[in-house]
Amino acid sequence: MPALLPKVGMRQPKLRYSRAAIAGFLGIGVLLHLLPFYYIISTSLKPGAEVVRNPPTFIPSAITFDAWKLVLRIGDESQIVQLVKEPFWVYFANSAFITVIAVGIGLPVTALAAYANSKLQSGRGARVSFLFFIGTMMVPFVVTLVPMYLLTLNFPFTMPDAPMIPGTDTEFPTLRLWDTPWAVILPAIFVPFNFLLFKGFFDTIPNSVINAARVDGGSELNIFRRIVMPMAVPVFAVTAYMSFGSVWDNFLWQLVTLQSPEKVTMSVATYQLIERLSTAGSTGGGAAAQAEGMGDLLNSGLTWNGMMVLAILQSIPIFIAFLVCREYLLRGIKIRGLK
Amino acid sequence: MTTDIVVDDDAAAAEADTRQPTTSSRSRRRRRLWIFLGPALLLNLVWGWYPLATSFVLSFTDARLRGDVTFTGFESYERMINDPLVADAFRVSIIFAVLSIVLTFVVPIFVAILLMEMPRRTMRWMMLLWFLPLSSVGTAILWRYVYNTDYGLLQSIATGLGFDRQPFLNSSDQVLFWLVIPGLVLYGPGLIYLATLQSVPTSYYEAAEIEGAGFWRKIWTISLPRMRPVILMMLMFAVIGNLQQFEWPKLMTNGGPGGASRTAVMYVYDILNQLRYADATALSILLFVLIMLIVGIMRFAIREDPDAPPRRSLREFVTRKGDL
Amino acid sequence: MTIRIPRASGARPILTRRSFLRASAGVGIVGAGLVSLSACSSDQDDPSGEPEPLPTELADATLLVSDAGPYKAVPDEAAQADDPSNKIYADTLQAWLDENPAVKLEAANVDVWNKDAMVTAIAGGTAPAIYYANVIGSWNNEGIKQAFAQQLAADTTDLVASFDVVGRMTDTARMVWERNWGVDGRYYGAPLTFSIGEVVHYRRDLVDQLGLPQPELGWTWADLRALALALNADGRKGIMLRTSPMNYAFKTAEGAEVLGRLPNPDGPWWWRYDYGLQAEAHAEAVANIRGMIFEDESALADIGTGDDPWAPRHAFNRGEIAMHINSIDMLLQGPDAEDGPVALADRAGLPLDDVTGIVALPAGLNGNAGPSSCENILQAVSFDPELGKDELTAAFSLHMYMNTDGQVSRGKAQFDAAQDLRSVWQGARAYPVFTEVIEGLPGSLAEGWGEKIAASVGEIAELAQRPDPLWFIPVETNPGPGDEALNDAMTKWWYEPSEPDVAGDLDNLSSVRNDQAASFSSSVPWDDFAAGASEYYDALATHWEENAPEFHRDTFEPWLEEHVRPALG
Repeated sequence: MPALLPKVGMRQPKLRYSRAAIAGFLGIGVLLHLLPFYYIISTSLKPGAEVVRNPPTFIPSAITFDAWKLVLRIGDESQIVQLVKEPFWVYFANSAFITVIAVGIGLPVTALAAYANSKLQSGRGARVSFLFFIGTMMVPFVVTLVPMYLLTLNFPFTMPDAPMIPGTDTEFPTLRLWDTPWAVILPAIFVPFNFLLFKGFFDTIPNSVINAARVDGGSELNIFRRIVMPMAVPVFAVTAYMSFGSVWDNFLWQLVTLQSPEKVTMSVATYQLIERLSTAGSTGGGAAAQAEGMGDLLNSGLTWNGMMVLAILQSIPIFIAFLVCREYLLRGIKIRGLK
Repeated sequence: MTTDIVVDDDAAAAEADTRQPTTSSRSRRRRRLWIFLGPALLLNLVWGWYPLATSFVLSFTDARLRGDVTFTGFESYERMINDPLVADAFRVSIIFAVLSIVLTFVVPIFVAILLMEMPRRTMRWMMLLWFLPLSSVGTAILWRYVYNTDYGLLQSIATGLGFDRQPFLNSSDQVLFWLVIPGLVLYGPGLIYLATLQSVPTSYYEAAEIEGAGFWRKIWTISLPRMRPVILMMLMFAVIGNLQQFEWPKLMTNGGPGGASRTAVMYVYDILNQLRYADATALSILLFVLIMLIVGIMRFAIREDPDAPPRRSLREFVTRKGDL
Repeated sequence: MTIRIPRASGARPILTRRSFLRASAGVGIVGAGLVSLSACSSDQDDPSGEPEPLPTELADATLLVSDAGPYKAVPDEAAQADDPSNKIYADTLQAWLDENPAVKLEAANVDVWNKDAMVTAIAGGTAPAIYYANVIGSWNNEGIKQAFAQQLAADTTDLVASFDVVGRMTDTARMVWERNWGVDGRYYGAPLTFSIGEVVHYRRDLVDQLGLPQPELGWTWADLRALALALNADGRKGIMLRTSPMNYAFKTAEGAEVLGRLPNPDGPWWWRYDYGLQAEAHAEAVANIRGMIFEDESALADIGTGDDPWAPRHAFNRGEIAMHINSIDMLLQGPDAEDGPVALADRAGLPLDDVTGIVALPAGLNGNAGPSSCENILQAVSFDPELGKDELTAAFSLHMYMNTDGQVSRGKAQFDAAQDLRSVWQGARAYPVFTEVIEGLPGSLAEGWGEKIAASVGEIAELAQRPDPLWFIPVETNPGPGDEALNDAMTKWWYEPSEPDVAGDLDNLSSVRNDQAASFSSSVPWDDFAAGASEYYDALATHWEENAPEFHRDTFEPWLEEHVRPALG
């Protein structure tokens, strides 16, 4: 909703020009921004040879769906050695389940903690718990990969086998989360990044608003629900969208924890293919050996065009989440407009 | 790390008392706090700090994935500190973070502010187009293709405009710059600013208008200050995230040329790949300390509460406990 | 989610020595500090000396197998109907399963090509029964031996003996197996495929058209540069260069890998580095490669394409480049693919082996440092160290079947289906590991791919392999310094457009590597190391005396006498 340009005299030429200038600036940005998207789609529609032609073609000389067909056919068990087994919709459903549960539980849990940290705590307590919450994002994920994985195997122990109960020759009972969706969901519920987002937003709410409600005798939970939540709808929307993306995009952790073919997620399936097609990091000997049995795929001329297809496939659900999020964002704008 | 850290100390509790109009007993207040904090705290403890603590213990050993292990004290740390490539990797990470923040941090803020000026229908579409999402790996692959010096799109644009052939990722002077550019296309931050701006009451702007504030002045005195906590958090996230950058250099250059794009986390991966588990952990802990330090400095240096008076001195910071 | 029922300790299927993560986690949980970390016992069972006779019938065993290989579970009916190669595979595997009804295969989604995922799964005991050993060793001999030393694979010494694996292998494959895969007399896997590794692929027809002599064994990197320049015409680039072949040009052809590394009796790490000793020769080698890219502009090289083997294969078969350096497997597979070798031959209207030729990698710049840096490569499988005895036996015999009788019957069926010998002698299977397979399969490599190609393959396979320290020095169980610094120096030379100061880079490289090495300590006693190293250098001297006498006389011997012998005592 316009707020920076004066409301009065909207029709004055000077203001019209200003508005047009802003629109023009944003429009150019949009065009630049769309360029990569155009290129990714047009590349996915080019024949294999054209993709590496010098100079590159901006508009495909001939549109072909070969790359799309090849990629979508991968799940058909047409290879001696296969990377994905189930039809793609199974992976899609698995990912959707995991993501929805993780985001559904994660948002309230994280928002409550961030609210408490922002408005209920103060002093050293607030400082320490802030660091407690975001400290875990300062270590690269690979380092805790092995302990976390062992934790899913023998919850609550970070070791390959549970220890003995002292004085007996039996092991402690353990909970096996590994190879269940919960191994992915539980660690994804609390995300420090979401905490940062919420905390930042709650910090923008003036304390006076909260204090006024307290004077009216509202309990903290009610204040949160009645006063803070409605203001925070857009932030909830954005956070939901971003954490949707991060769970959806996560690859290594899901690969390590989900092993039954029917439990595999979308990202695992697509990333395995991308890794194979891009052969990043594998040496000559490795790539040649990988070709054993998947020759059809790798020999098919599926190069950049195939990878673009996979990149698009992987992005589509994020795009859908974005559309949903956008609706709530706009709804928030409408609310503000009434104020 | 124990759990009692969230319990207010006396001073904080006293301060909380004066802040809250309703009188509630200490235990009630604490119980309420636990309801809010408890679940997140427990989850972060179990899935965050506990595995981290295990890794931390491992960094003092010659840990492998299997087999006997002995306690080696600070050997892994010494090894990492004496490794000349560690310093190089840290330098690359820091340059990457600085470049990335300078080049990509400010743009989404202004885009969000300007988008809010658009009529609803225009905004609806512009938002869609500006923040169109692409998965992170997809981004890396696309740009690796675009940067190819032979058949890449950028090369043909450069030569088409009459420039010499550009080395792009092949030049150690330029590689970090080109690696940062895809970050401009990333979709996240602008939406967050957009969401924050919506909680700024329009009355603020109307009041400013009555006082005769113009376009830029309104941005400077209202939009930006109201967004400050969020901007600060995003900045903190950008610092933490960029110092841990790994995926893009890995997928686009694999650290080259000459290690010019090997970030600290990439080096952690390299070491892990040599099955040097303890060294990798020790290096990560060093990175952890560096990031903690920077975050600490940031929180010290930047005031985040838009309603608080500006901080004037170091002394004030030290004495003013309420400010985080 | 399942609650695991505590099990009695006596019922543990196999004894392992993984006490550490256990102890550390205990410490983590109590938060009590670093106590008794070293108090970890070893309870590995002592391997007996004699090979055990094989059981006549396999016992009950369920094997977890990955869909990504090496042996996926039997494909279902629909998949078999969909693709004849699936049917052939299913028939082959089913025949074995019918003979061994007690063995069951269970499918699992493990990315056996992803090292992170594999190593993690092995540590926690969720790995598939059979996996590619080269992956967990990062595709290099040292890394593989390291992984074995860290117990990431089951000990198969007894089974290798029981199945007479060594006796059934071809001579060339056996040599690689014994040298590169034995760890102090023990084995941790089984051989899978053999390959002559990286070779130069070139356009035989174009060389003839230009009236140039065909490149042959003993040619030099300078010859390669000249040929690339000559072939750089008609909108066709002379060559596409990947990272690792360029690295060979520095590391092996000029002997940098050997001459830059010296024994270091002062320890605690027994190697130190001095690349500056041959700075001039190295600078010349670097200038030769860079000259192709930046002066002649006859070579394509891009850091984003890096080491990707597919891009050069596709470009070559489309006729966009005239040479590339790549694994031999990049030629001997996918004959009918859109960008395959047959398509290229058809376009040229000539038999396949008149269009595409292969030749060994060039020798050093001036023909020194040996006839070739080609290395014979053996790919192997390893087995989950958590497997019980019966399961390990079952997995091993499945592997042996699939690579002997199974491979023969599969090859025959493939030939019946396609009537093309190229589909039988294809890819990594073009050069079988076991003699019985070569005899059993229809046709031969020459009948499938052409006499000229088969002759070149044979010639390269017979090349004397340059001795490697790993053949002589006891296996290091401690981790050592990585080779990032070396790779950094090389990627800088190959990709950076600005002119490098090679001598300066070499000094810097030596100092970085020495700084790194100083903080590692070797698990091998110096005396054992020195004895192994002496053997290694003797073998190296013999090798070069035979294969590169000038290099041996002018460069190697003086260097050996001055820098190495005194150190080894």
